[in-house]
Amino acid sequence: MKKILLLCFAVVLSIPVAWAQERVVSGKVTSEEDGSTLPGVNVLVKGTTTGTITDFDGNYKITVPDEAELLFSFIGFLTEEVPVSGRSVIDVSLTTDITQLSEVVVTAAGIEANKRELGYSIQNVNADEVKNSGENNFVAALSGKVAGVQVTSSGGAPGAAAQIRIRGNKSVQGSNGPLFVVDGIPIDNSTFNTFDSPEDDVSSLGSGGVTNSNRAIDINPEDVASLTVLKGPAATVLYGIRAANGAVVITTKKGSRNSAAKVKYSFGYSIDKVNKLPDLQTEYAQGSVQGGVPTFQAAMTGSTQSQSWGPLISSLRYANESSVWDPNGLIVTASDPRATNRVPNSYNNAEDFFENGSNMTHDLSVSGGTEKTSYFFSVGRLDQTGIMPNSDFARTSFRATTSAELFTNFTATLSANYIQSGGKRVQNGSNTSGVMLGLLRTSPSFDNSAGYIFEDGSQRAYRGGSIYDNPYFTVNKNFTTDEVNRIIGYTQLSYDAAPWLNVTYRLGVDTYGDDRIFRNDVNSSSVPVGQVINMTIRSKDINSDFLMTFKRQFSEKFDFNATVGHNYYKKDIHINRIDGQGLASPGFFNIASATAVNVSEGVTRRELYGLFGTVTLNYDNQFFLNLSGRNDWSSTLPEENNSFFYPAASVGWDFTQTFGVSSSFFSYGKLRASWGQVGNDAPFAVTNNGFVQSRVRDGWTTPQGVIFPALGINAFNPNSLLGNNELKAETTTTIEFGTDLQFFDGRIGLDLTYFNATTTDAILNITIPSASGWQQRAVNSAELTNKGIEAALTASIIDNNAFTYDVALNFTRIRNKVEKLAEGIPFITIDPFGTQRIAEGEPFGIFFGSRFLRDENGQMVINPDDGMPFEDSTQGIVGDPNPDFQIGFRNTFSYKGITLSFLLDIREGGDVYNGTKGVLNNFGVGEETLDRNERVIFPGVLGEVGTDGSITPTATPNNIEVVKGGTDGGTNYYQNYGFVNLTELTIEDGSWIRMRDVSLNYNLPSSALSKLPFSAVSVGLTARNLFLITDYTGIDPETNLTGDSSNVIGYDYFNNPNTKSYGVNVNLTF
Amino acid sequence: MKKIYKQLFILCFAFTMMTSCEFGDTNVDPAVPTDVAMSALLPSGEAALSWAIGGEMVRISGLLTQQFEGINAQQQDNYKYLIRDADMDGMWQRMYHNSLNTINVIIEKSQEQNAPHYEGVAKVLMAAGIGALTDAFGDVPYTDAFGGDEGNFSPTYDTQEQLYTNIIPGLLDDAIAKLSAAESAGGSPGSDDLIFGGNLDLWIAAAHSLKMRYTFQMAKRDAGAYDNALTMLPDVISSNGEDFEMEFGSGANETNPQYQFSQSRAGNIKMGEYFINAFTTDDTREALFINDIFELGEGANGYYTVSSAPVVLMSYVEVKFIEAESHLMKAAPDEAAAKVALDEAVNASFNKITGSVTPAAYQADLDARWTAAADKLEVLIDEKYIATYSQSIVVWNDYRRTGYPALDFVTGGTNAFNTNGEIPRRLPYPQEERLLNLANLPIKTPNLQTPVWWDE
Repeated sequence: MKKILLLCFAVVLSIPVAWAQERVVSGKVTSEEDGSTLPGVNVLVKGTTTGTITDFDGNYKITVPDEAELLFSFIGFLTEEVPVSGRSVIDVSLTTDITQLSEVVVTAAGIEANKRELGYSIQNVNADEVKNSGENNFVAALSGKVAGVQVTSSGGAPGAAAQIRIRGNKSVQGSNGPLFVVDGIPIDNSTFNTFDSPEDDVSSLGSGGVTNSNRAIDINPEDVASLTVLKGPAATVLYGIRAANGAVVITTKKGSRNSAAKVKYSFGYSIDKVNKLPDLQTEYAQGSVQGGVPTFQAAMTGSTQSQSWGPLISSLRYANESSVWDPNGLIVTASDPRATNRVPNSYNNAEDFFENGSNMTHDLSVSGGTEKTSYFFSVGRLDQTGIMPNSDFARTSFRATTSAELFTNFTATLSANYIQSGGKRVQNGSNTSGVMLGLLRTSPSFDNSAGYIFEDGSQRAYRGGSIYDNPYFTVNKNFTTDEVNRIIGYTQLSYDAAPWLNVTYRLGVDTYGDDRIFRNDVNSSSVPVGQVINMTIRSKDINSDFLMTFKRQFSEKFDFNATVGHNYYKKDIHINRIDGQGLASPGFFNIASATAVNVSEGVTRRELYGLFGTVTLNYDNQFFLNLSGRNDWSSTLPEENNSFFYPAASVGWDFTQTFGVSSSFFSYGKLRASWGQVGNDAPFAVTNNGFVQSRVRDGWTTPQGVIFPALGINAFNPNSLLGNNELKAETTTTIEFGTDLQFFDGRIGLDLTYFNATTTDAILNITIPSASGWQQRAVNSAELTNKGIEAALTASIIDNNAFTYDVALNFTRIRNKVEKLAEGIPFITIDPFGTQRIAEGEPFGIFFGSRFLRDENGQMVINPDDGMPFEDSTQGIVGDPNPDFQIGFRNTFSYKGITLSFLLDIREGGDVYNGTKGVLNNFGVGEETLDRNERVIFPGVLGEVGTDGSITPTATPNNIEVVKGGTDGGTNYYQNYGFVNLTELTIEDGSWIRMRDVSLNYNLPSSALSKLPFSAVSVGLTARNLFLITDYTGIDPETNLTGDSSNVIGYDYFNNPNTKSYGVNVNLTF
Repeated sequence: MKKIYKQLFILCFAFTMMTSCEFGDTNVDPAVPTDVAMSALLPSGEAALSWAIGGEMVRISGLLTQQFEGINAQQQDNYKYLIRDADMDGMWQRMYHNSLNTINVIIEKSQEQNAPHYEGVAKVLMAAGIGALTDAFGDVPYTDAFGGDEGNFSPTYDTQEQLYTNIIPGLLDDAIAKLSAAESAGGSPGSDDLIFGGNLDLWIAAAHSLKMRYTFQMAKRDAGAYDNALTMLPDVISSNGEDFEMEFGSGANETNPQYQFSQSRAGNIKMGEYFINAFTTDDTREALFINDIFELGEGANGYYTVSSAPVVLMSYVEVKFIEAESHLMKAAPDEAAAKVALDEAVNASFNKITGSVTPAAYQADLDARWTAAADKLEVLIDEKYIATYSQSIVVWNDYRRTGYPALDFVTGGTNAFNTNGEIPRRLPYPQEERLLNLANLPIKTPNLQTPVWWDE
């Protein structure tokens, strides 16, 4: 048996040798600062490799020679040297090492490490920062707080998803989201659309439907004790492919042993308001130019006119005649015999629509522990109402984590988190029932709020009936409800088999059911016959980790630790969707009453095995070397390619120690470098071909069409995707260099990191010509690079006993480029309208579209017929959504118990596609169209049209004067380039400066507490998005239409707007 | 200590077991079968083809010939002749992927499984689809198309001349032969045939009628086409009851594409002024063609806009108009025969739409107009403009072939793709072809005034 054992471990470990015993010494190690016991302290006999570590209560026992000296060392504390001098009990108290950066971080696979020892970049986020952000979705709470991380929300609707990217987008079509790990258990962070069948999720990319949540929203921010962001492969290699895009590692709150029960209650309340809306004109009425005259046309005149190119509202009058469309009366021209002298009202329907939303949170927790156990229980409740009527979100969370030392050195931890979440969702985006679509297009001469439904059930909307839904109709009648019931739990068994060996096994499960009812009421514009979709999503993640960690101090100067482990992961998602159309009566959303019912089923599953190992060597706390590797076997790759290995190495060098630099000016300096690879597997089921149940329709008839089984028969057609049985894993290789520097005894700290990540063999479904019979094909071919600089600066500017002022600044600059796609594939479209692309040689997600025709000097070429600039007959690149850089700037002031903190968030660059504006200008409701009557000469040169239709620029400057909005009967500039307008005109700079969050907290002093039953009391005020400075003309440019459900970025097409909020919170500890 | 070693041993053993991993069918999507029968593919092929032709193609033809007026969204642009290549991606994908690829798989399977009746049906459908595509776009891929599963991702184009003179008639001749086979060992279409319910004679008549259409359509290039078309008369569709059309259903998930467009995109189009004015007071079809359903999403029960309305792929009405025009325009014109066929065509239209014969007053008016007309072709096409409303892109083809009806161009029809502001002579190739198959694309820069081969 021993032989086998040796085989197993000879490589990584030397077997300890028995030691001559002369005396047994025991004692307790405590912290000098607060007297608390310190578990896990290294106790080493100086000059030998003999040692032990303290147990959970800070006790140790060691056998030593009489004349030995003991070294007590622990992360964040000064090492203590104590001669034994014949004693048998030695209690030691360790002093905090203030000159050292002693941040303990949780790295991959739950391994704790001292940040000093790492050769790669890692960043912690303080739990209070998450809490004080005022965000209910802790993904959104990370905005601006971590260098290299970009967070985008999908708008301010309750429960809206937020998208997070660490060091940019690395995969073309696969997920670019990081892995979320809670207490060592990876959790699901999917966003599922409720729009249509599973295959349509792909094709529609969630451009319509309702606002959905990303499932990390289920984690109660109040339960978070600390949060670490792992960025590159050197940091994440042990997590394997699932952390190919980085990892967000969350440690939840736990109880501590030997402490009395601590009860904590927190309350928070905040009010949400819409933070930015597009500017709309309120002067011109609904209508169009008829025979050179802007003419009022509206539902009350029997027209379905969509546009507002009518006359000035002030030129119209209410008539002495009622109209069902306007409680103030029929609107007529001033010269109409029925006209009164009352001028019609004009409405800013958008501003009138939004209400104040609210968030209320209650959180109660109890924690504590006995000699051998510890416990933490919490219950949290969030109630959120949206800024749109009839929208809400609620979350109830229970968490229990208990830990017990069942027998000596064997600890079992059990944790369970039950969450119920969900709410009423509003419709969104490119969808005639979308709230913003009907709302913003409404003419200023029509008041949406004066009723949305007539007695016969038909709609009162600005175009008459149900062409575009009245936004009040859609929020009250077409809402979706969802309810998630989720359990995340794990069991962890940890055994300190020897002072140098820990064995841990952890089995986690994350499972939920998400039951949704999607409604389109009778007379809704999307489905006038009425529709109800019952959709059930069942997701199950099982994760098993086995870890062995070896720790050895070979000598006073030489530390070694190693971990080997095994991982098994299985994911199953099952979506059942029952689509019922043709409802028996309005408001009766019973699937059994629908006249046509279709059922579809979607399955995604994946299994993964991984074996991994890591070795860290520490020489004299100056040189650190880490070597790691993992091999994965994935079910989504063809059998012959399903095993893949990737390694990582990192080095760190504390050069201040080596060179003995110990001035108080330059107090610490470390250089680090790492190289690592991480693999990524394929999406589910792209290795083979097949047939799918047929669904016949076009882009104008979604969500309907002929959905088989239909016409009395079932039918199939070949899948649009051609499978590929030669796929292999994609690989991202990252090189990272960095330095951690501290000055003035650690009062100023600077972390600088440069990284260069190259993804090769990226798997993508390339579009192929439909004439080949299929539309997409999975290939391994793309190559993407992401290069960036991340900097984190911290400074304690003022620090005296009464007053402190600290700043923390995060800087991120990422440049990405698509080096290569596939043979013959110049681009891939990733958005629903073909405007956003991944194109070879360009940054990720460039905007591509129509633009003006320009001559070689860049001058617009003007149509000699109508004086309008010509459109270029070919499309091209018109924008880049990637920001130039981002800065998060935290300022914290503390005076006695009062703390004021604010985070300024700056984004420079990053174009946003404002499709909303293109349409609103075409419709004559955008504020820009107020210049409709201006006579202008478009700058440029005249073009000459050849007999073959070709256009040649001439040298003649344009001299044709036109009325810009065509209100004289001429061509309307705002409509000349189509419905969504020229793409070039809809790309805007999305730079911003915003006050991301502000908090003012007051902790009651102990003198005041003595009269109260509390051990701690704090009260605070918070504000989120207090101000936003941007040139962007639409809603908050941070929002993104598709949320987290796709790789689309910077996309604004009738998105729901974002919010700002003001709140209070109270925290009481008993 | 020994206990620990024992545990460690077990773990080491577990590790070494992990040398290879098999996952069984974990990576197979249970919702995506690897094979299905021809009878499960045929309904999909028929419905998808009918949807593409009866939906987007009818709409674009109607917008360009002012049967419809676009009043919102991209339909407004298209009505004003602003048709971008990206607007065509959908139509192209619906044709090549959703319908014709399915049909091509049926052809391949029918050959493997010795099922000539399925092969015949599939080839008629293929000819109808490729015919509609080439009339709209000119040169299109066929011979080299549908090869994605064999690694051909850049199909070459067949010229329209090839398609018209060789490929389409070849497909149809072959279809007729296969449909006439006495036996079809691999099976014959039955209830899975949503168009003719497995009636092979009707498929044969449809095949002959399509052959006639694609012969006749070449007349602008080849004056002999009229006489050639007339020789095909004995075998073509001989009554409304034999029309090659697909009936949709009234269930919410099986309704006709125009009806669905009116429901999900109400207010994007309305009936065109020219079309409304084309009806005389005696025309009992007007109430069934002209209604508000596109504009308002609700309204009278139009013939082609009720939920279960058929999509017509080839009709007796069209056959009769082809006969009439051929008699009128052939090398030795026969006006009398033309008039007889025209009357039959108009009567068939009234019968189809209203269930009654041509009203006497209407017939009298038609007779008078015929007699008075300087160009009898104009009278004929004006009648066809109404009678073939919502039948594929027949009306736009007629306009391009004859210049009738005498439409005015819409105002604001000048743009970078249509620089003279006249009615487009073709649709632009879809953007996906320009970007993914540029080398093979016959026209690299979109120009809507470049005529297709038969229109040159």
